[in-house]
Amino acid sequence: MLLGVATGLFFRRFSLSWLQFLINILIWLLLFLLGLEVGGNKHIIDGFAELGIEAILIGSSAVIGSVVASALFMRWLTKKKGQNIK
Amino acid sequence: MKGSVVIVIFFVLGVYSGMNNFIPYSAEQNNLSFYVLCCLMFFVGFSIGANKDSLESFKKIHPYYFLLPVVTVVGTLVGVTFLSLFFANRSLQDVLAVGSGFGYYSLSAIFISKYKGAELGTVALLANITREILTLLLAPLMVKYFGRLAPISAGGATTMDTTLPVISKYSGKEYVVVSVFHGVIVDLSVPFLVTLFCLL
Repeated sequence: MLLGVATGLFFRRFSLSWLQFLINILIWLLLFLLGLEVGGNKHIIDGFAELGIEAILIGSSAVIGSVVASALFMRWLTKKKGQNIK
Repeated sequence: MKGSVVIVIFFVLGVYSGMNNFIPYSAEQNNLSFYVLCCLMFFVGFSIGANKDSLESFKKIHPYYFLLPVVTVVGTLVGVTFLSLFFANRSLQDVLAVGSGFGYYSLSAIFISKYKGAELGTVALLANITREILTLLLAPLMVKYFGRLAPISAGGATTMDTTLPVISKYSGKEYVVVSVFHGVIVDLSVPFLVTLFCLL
């Protein structure tokens, strides 16, 4: 990934639209492969509803945690800089 | 939103083909997805490096906002750690690894399924899609109750692309640059943190 950033810096004039397309294709391929693996695993298919609930709980708690943290950060910022922060 | 629907469709197609053995493929027997992942990481890095506008505009950000990605990471990890206290069937490391996807569902799901198997990979995919969808849907409420930085933190790694439009709308245009910067940094942290928690 860092190698990619470095290479990218040298190819700034490259069109980014084909690159985004390529990234999408790779992501689709990988998710398809992950799906293949999941579909071939009976254990996962049987417990899918449970996994889904687990996932929603983890996703929600991650959102709550980061939102609360950002509110505390915002308060600290306003205290620190008074009215100077946009 | 459209992007995540397409991704879920590909995932479901894969599940369906796997269940019916349409394609003779065994993840244990070959490393195809690992090589594709390496290519993907290279191109994701490439797209960050090649994006001149974003790199230039970061110079204008107030130094205090450089801390925001750290705030997001810490907040997320504290949030999921708290949840894991009530989870008997998952270890803290597993939950932290899933949380470290920061909404980057495609990448984190692939990484986690490499290290911890397809089951936790599926959880990572769904958990991080949940994060993106919650951010898209709840951004106005977040701004109202938790301030203008809240949707940026909630969006995690997605604030440079998929959730940027709602952030620009509800937090305000002056936060777009902060949002893109935040997205790039959190994006870069995903492979490192996910791998770290998987190996712990």
